[in-house]
Amino acid sequence: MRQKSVIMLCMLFSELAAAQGVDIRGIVADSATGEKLPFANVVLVGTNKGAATNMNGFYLIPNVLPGEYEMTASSIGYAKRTQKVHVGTVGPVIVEFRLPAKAVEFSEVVVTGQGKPELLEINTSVHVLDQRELQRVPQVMMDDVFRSIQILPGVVSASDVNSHFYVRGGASDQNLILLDGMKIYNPYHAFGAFSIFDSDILKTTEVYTGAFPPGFGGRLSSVINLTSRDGRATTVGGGASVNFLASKLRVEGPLLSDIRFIATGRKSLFKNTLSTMFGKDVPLSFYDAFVKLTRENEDFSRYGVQGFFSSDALVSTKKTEPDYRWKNHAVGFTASGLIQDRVFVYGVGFENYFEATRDHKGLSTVTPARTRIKETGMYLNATLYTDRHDLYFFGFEFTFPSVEYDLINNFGVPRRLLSSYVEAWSWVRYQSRIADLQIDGGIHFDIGSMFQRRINFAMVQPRLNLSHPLDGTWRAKASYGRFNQNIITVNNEDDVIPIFDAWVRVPNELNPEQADHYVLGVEGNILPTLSLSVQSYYKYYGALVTYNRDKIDALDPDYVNSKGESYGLETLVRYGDELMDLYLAYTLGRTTVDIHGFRYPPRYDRRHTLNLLSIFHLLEKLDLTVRWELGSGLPFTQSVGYYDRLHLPGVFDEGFVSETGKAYTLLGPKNAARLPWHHRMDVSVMYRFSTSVLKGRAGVTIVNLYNRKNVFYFDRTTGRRVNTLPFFPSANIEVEM
Amino acid sequence: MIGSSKPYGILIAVVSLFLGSCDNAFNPKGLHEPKVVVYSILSPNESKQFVRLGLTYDVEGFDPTVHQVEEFIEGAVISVQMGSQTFAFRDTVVARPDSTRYRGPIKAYVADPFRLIPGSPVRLSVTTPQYGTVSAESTIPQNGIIQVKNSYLLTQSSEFETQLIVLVDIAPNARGYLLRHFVVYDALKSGVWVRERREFPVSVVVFAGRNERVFVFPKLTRRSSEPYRDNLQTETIVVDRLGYLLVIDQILKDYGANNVKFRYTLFQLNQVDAHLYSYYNVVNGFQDQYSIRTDTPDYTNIRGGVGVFGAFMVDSVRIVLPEQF
Repeated sequence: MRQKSVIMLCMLFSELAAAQGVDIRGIVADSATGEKLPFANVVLVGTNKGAATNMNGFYLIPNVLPGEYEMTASSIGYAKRTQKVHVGTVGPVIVEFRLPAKAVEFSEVVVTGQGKPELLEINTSVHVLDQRELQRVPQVMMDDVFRSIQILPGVVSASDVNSHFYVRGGASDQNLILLDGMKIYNPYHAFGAFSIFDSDILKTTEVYTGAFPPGFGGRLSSVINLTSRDGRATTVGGGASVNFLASKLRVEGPLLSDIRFIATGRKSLFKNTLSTMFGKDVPLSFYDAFVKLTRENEDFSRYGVQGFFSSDALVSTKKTEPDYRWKNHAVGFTASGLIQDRVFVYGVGFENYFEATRDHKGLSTVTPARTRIKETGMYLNATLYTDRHDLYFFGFEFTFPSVEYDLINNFGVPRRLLSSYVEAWSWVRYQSRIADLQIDGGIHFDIGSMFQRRINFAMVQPRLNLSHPLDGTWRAKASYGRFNQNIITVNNEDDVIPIFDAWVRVPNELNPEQADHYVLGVEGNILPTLSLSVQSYYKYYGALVTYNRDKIDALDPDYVNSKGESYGLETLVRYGDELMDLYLAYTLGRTTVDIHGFRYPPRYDRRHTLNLLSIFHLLEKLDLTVRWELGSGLPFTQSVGYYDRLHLPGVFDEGFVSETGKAYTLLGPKNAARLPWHHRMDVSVMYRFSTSVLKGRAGVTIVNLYNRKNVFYFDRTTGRRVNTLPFFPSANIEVEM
Repeated sequence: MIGSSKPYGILIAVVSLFLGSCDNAFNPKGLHEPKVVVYSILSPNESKQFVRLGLTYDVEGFDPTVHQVEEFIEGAVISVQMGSQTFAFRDTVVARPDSTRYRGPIKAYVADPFRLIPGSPVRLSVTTPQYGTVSAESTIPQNGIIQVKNSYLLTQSSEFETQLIVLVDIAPNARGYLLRHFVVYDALKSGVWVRERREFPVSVVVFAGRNERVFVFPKLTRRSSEPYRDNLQTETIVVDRLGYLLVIDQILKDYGANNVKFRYTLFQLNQVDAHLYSYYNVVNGFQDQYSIRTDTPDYTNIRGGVGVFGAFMVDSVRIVLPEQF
């Protein structure tokens, strides 16, 4: 084994030493703002050489022989640019591209190949959205990254106002959410009506719905990797917007010659607007703020500090309703740059804090509870560029979560579950091309489990993505990946819909949750303006953590390991022409949990999900957007009657016969019934305007156009039903200097 | 004309479909199919055994306490087979101590005389006029054995021993046991000697700084290992002597030393079968004060119905006390 490692290292360095040409490297940036563009493609015309930019907009084309070349850079939403380049015998040659933005249209991404990020070419289950794409989806008055994500195939939303989304049959706690490398827990305002991330701060959003590559770990189902903007490099400016729900303000620009900043803040206006409009108390309020400073150097190195703060409160004036409060803070430091000619590193150090509380206000139907996570961590990834255009990635991540859950249990006994531990990961990843076959694979190691002597079969996690061209624009793909997860949320599995999730570490006596993903797909263009992507997935959950159905007494654990599987078919159709863009995603899925032979669908098992998004370009600056979502009913357990249950307090003394029982709700087969179908149509009209000093958007949005009454919450003990958003017209104006 | 009206027709149909689907009636209740509710715990304490027979019910709305008439199935044919004997039950009434929800006496079925034979398998059969037949099986635990290793501590003081050690031998067909310890005494009340008993705690929790002592009483406990063939299994129980002394002190304080005559202490071993053990724990929150689960699951061994059919056996040892000690 040691010999093999030495041989591999020798091969690697001999490959580096064999370089005969020089390297071309540089950055690709937005010409107006100076914002670096990730996933841009840079091509050396007339050769088979090229590269994709990383998250810092950096690219490197190795080993280019001396000569005169023409280089192009392209990125979705930007005009393509070409430069002539002279490559001599002394390198490296620095070539920077500044691409002018153009109006983004979905039709751009219909055509495969040109302009398509390489990441999407290779991986089966990844979607990349930039800020402008996020703005295309009609929202409840505000652009929202998570609402936009929920139109992607394989993503199931529990409801309009529920904080959970489920990816390919995975539970809501199986989604890894990162902002500039910082882990964020429960990043939702208003129980999930909005994410806590203002879309104005986001540069790109990578969504991995399965089989994600090495470098991402600790969750079973998906990764939402958000990268924030650095702020404008040219002039100080900003923007403001206001609608019925919230107001927000953004300021950004250069601070010193090489330092940029961006600061944003949002504050809810429910009490000022909705309460007045409807004459009813809307006891919800929230705020969020983001600030980031970035220093950029000419040697491609960058340093940044960023902070993110958000808070929510649902404080009801009714004594019969509990109060909820939750907040999320994260601060981090990032550094990146070349440490060797061909070694680019990106590192993050961060600390985050999440807390949610439920104040029962003395009610007997709910109990007080609090969940907290405080986590310090660091992440480092190195990219090694080789002569053969192969890429090696190495990295590690250490985090030190402290997870706390306080509650009053069914006995009225205060309980505190506190876990402080180490999560540690390392990985190696390799991207290459063998003939036409593109390979992206590697291994992700859970070394944290090894430190804690929780040795398990999921510690070594192979990941592989393969992509092979077929005829024309068509491409076949296959992926595999293994994943595990050490932290989960707990709630009452028998609730019709839960609204308070508490985080706990997987108990020591249980295996961490573990899953294997298998994905097959084919995609291509049916017409130049019509593309189709079809993917099938199968996920096998070798270990889940679920209620112990056989628990009898205190000697039996509350939770046990179970198994599960989910499989499905996803279809994504995209059409675009001058008049309209169309996005249609349909997912057919099935998920089953198996607790020692007892099988049932988990409550996020949605069989059919359809998302339709169409944008009509009525005028040059006027768009009409229609979004329709349809989902079959989610499973739940029905109440099928009552009986008077005896608790036998005096069975060993006076017997049982004179006891009057307490009414007990009989439940039907677990999750055998389905909630009604969920559907809703949202419509928005948006007008873009610009003057010599101002530009902006003004529009009208109608949420739930036909006022469908979709169920949000149902309390089976009281019969109280709360629906999701009703018919709700709103207006929004945003201005930017 | 036809061509121009068709899009409008489609539009109207689509709008109608949407508007028609706006009202989304949802009821989390499924169809209620009445089930027979059976409770029968065979007890060695009396020569008669009872069966409570009821029916599941449903109510309008979500408040089950509006159901004010207790369900009772009349005319059921109930029998319990124990070995070669079959005991038939007849209907009876029992006084209801708690009449806040239901009024009137409790209706039940009784078999009298019916004395348990330890170790016997028993089978309950209930045939109702409208709801068919339900049945259940159980096994009456065999007798156990109690040994108090240092019973002298009950009457003598010791500087070195603070714990009573009790060994109990558990029958192979018992899933759990409960060892209780009582003191039986005569107290002079209004000039009359009255026999009373009090239970000793198994331990005492002392909260430092609060000058507060909380008695912890024994709980139904699962046997520590699965039975091996037909052998009795010995369990060791440690009883905090402090609790014993505090209860004795309290009795003396309550009545005065001259008004109490201690008679004996009683160790009582209750052994329960698997079904009674499981039911008792599940309906009482698993008897797990550390559980973070918020669900309230159910347990039944009634085939075709709900409730429980179980049995327990009682063995006891008396240790006579001097009147004054």
